[in-house]
Amino acid sequence: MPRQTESKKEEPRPSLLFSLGKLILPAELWQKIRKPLISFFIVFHAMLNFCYMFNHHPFIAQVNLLFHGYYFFMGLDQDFGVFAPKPRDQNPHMIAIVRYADGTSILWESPRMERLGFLEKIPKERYRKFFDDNTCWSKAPHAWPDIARYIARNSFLDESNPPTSVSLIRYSSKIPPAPIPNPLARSEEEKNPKWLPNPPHYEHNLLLTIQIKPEDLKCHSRP
Amino acid sequence: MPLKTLIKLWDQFWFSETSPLVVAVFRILIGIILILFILLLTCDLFVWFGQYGITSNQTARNFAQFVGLNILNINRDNDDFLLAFFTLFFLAAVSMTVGYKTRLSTFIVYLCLTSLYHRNPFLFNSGDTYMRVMSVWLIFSASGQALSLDNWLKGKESADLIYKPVSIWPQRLLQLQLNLVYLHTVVAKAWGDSWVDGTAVYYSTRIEDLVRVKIPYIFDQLWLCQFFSWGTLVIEAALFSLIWIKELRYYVIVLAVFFHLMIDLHMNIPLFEWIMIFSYVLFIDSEDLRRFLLWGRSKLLPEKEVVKVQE
Repeated sequence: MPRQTESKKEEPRPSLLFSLGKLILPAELWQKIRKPLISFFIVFHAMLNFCYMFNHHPFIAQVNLLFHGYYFFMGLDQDFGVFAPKPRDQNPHMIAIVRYADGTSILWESPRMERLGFLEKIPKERYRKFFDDNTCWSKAPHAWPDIARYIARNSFLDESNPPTSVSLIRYSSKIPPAPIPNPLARSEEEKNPKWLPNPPHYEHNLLLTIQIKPEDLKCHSRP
Repeated sequence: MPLKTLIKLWDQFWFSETSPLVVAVFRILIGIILILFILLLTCDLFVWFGQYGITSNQTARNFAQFVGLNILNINRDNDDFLLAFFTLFFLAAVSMTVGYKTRLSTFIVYLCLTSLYHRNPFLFNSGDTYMRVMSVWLIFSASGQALSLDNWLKGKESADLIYKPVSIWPQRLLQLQLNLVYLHTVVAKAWGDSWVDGTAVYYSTRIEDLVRVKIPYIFDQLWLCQFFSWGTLVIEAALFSLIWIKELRYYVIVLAVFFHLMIDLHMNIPLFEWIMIFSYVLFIDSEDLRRFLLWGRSKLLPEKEVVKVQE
């Protein structure tokens, strides 16, 4: 207990910026500029965050252009628009058709979360993020050739029969519109719309077909 | 308002002093999440980041168009280096959690999180982004000055959880970052029709790949879907506004914890909800938190052991 009383009398321990500052500047000078410097640091990053997250004005876009290099380099770029501006209204999954030299082909499918058990879903969540949220859609075409080559490497099971091409296809279906009753509607169906279950993934879009070169199949044994 | 008053208020908000207990508890909770995050990623380490993985280094760079901090570039496309990197990341996360060389280990955690993000940008969700940004602000905090191995080794760990006061500005940054998450999500949602007409929860609960447990009845009633959609906006708005009002703070936190637990039960987004729930500790008064921890310890440890610790 006496140690507690002693420690309470001590000066507050210097912060990291204080310690760094002391290396460059005399202690007295550092004490003088500490608060303005930290204030600048705070205001600068607050401005960057604001400009990055609420970038609807041309002036703000210009500010972003100026500082985005730093912001991105440091990993400070951020977007928290979860289910915004609206939740996804489609259920997708990705499949690939792998064709082999002998003319045969196999079907590869990204993990279907809705078909996995409660505990299986947890470690597979990254697959959902990678495929269903990001690479299934046209916002990430950069990733498609790599995905196709990865699937080819993992489907290369017989040295004498290598994969020759891979096609990536997105299957999806729209979630039925929310059944909002419309008392002014003429038909009974529109007045009291039914709650419909999600349909099977009926739509398909060919994302990419690539030819597989021998160098794409290197090190297929890696897990 | 005179400039002098404004400067005084700024000074009071950013440069007053507080106990490091709050940031220390936050450090431990986020550290536990980080360890789980690493373990979950390790299952498919080479798939996501390996030399022959699903996304090449070049693709990640082309997608970003900017250079990103990535220590995996020191030895690019080398799976042994990746393994060493992950081992370092794991050790740093454990070290940060127990508070050993806290600032250094937090800095390494930040470097690793940022490197992984730049190595495969298609993989991470908002919770991961939040954790990455929080790790930056945590570097500046005095989180190692309470409940830490560093303190214990120096003989400074206090039995009654009273510590030397520290500057509050890093804790303020952490608090404001949490506010920013909710502010941004509310503003972004305000543009969406389905949040205005209250059908957003209808759609989000029908995204098949997200469902963890199907909850019967509740999400099959339009009025309940609308209640939860608008309720979401209200709770999220409260989390950047009302949470600053002392008298309302704990009510807002209880509501928000319930809200995130509901999402966690229904949706399979491992760790995300828990990161947010654990972050509310940043808004708990340090004295309340101290009393709570002492109460918890008295319940968990028998009387004799408490005396021993105090000795």
